[in-house]
Amino acid sequence: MPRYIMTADLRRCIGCQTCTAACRHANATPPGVQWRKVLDIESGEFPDVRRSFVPVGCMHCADPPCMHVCPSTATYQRADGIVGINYDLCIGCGYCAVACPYQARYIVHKAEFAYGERAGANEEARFDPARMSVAMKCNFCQDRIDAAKEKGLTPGVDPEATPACVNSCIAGVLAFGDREDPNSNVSQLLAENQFFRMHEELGTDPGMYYIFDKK
Amino acid sequence: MPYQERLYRVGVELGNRLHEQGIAWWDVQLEEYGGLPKVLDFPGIWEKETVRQAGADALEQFPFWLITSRSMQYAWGSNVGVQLMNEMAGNVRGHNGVLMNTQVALEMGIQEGDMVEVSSYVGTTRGPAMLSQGIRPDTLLMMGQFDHWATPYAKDLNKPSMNSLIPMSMALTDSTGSGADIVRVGVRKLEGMH
Repeated sequence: MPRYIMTADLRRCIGCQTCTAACRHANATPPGVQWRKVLDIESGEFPDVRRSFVPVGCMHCADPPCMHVCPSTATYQRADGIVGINYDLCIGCGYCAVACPYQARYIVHKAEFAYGERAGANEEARFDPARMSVAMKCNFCQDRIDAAKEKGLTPGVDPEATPACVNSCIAGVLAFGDREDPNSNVSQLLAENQFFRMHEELGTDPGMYYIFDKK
Repeated sequence: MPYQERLYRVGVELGNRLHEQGIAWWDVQLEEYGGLPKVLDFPGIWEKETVRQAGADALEQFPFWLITSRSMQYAWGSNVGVQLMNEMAGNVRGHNGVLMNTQVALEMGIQEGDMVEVSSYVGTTRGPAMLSQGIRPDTLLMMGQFDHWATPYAKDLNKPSMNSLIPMSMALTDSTGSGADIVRVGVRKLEGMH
């Protein structure tokens, strides 16, 4: 069984937010709801200062705190590692949003659109009432992953079977694939480079790997 | 003909035509039509004009250099009415406010997010202070220019903009007819506003 993960090469990220925009388009999230985004982080003191761009979102943890606290079993984990939310079961209590150490979850109680309360034609067509007052987050574009099996495609290699953020990345920062396959693109990247995972000390076993240097 | 020679000759010819008509107000700019640019005291050009326009103590009154920059989200103006672009730009540090050096701001009693007023000798603008270690102590930054739009959405962005602060002056105009997006300013905290 695969374990789908994402890698982000921090040496390459320029903070353009194209992944953020691509995610919002692909998943039709409302204004301000960014399942994928890039943090703009400054470190050091003048004049010795560095700026880092760090893509963040749901880490699809192997041991997800959000799932453990969910009282309605809405948050689930698939065998391939993807952590998802069943909107029909979610009661919008927000426990998961508090439990997630990565601030990856959003709950929206009021329909909002790009230019006020009136939806544009595109927004009206794609508005999903099932997402109101329930928890939302990145799902690694799981529809594409599932369709890959039917079409004989490989997630992380074929764009049709790859998350929108990865496809959109103009700097080659993001990669997606199967950690269990030693020949996958992500396994190769992790074999050749030094990396860390965010808040690894919390024992969540996150599925987002940050590459920062050659081995 | 080498570019430098062509540029020099264009300058001489242009000078001749202008002077035939009694026009002398382009004489300083005509000196720039040369093969190699001269070494100039660029800060001095702005400092001298600031003192000429605003008085002998102008440099103490306006101690900061205000500059601007584009961002990847707003490299050009054609997407300024797109909500998504504004939202993406919000993830970029300093995009929605006045970026200033952390140490200098704290010495002036300015905290992150405090509303500040930035003034030059021709106008004022205001916005939230955004503190950064990565900017020179004598410099402020306002990304993009947003206060001249009359089109929907963009006209309501209400971001600080140096457009209101830049003087129109022949002394600050180069031989291409352009100025530079730089001006001497002062900054003060607006008490009770956040």
